Amino acid sequence: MCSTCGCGASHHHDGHDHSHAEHDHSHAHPPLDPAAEARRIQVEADLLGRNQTLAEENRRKFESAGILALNVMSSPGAGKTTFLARTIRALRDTVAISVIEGDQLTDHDASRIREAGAPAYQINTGRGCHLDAAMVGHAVEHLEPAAASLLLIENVGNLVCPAEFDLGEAARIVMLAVTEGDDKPLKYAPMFASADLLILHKVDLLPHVEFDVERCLRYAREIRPDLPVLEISSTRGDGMEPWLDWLRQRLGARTEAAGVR
Amino acid sequence: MHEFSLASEVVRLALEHAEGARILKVVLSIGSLAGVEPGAIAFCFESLARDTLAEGALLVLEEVPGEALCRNCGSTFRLERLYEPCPGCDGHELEILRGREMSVKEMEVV
Repeated sequence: MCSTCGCGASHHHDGHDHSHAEHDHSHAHPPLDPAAEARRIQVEADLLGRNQTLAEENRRKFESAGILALNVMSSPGAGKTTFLARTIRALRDTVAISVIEGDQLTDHDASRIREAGAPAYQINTGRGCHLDAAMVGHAVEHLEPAAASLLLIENVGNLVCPAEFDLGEAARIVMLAVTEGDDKPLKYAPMFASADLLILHKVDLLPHVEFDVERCLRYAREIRPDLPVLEISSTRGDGMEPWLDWLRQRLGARTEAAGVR
Repeated sequence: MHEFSLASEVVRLALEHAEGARILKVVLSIGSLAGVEPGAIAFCFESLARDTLAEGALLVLEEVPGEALCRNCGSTFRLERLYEPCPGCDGHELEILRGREMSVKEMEVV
């Protein structure tokens, strides 16, 4: 059987012709026999089923090693990398941290994370608009995060597609910068509905932009009534302490549950 | 454009279940609340199926309408869009019963 396309071993071109750019051998699919009867096959297979299986595998690995994996999502430019770099600088002396960076192209973000003092693995998704569980599983094999550590996963900047793909994370953090519209929670509802924590970012810029915090939070809670919110500026440092407390608390619970230290 | 990933999974599942047979038709069940763009998934499917046993197969999308249960007043109703309130009591705490599924339902092979 051909591993590229899964077709059979019989090799002729009677039925149709096609290119073999990716093969080093010649083959074709069998011609349609006009006498052959079409059969119906019941499949009933979920399109996200495979991702879900791999995500559960990741989750089991993280849980047994006491690794707290967080999936950080936002639109491009909301400040995810600056936020993660500041978090690393604040915690690197007390907590082992590694980072998976997802971008369509370049390893700029991984470089910024390494400068902040944590090992980083850059995934370039190319055409892809989101990370999936297989990519994270692969990245973890390269990164080898320590037991009882923090694994920060910076997803591709996008408020749509990443919401659909479970990575095996312990929690989803959605970041919204005040330089964006305050109605984003309604416009990109699935993303906000799946969040465990909303970070309102760049709050140092609030005096300069037309962003109604109250309205934004009202919208967010229409979508997710019990959503916790932290207001943070990663450049000035506002709100970092409550965020670090949030992290330490979950990290402690995670390592305790796994019995590792 | 996560339709590209979804279409890759459609092709992978179809080839796996066809067990070497030629695929004529693939029927998908797509919930109306799943956020899938039918044109995009059809376009991606066509290009991803090229040079495989699914090349030229007809892709049929069957839409599953959205249905929700209101946790506040207990009524079930047809949900046209995610996160719209309950038409009975204006409540926002809804449980989605149907309409988010994305699956390969069946196929025709020869």
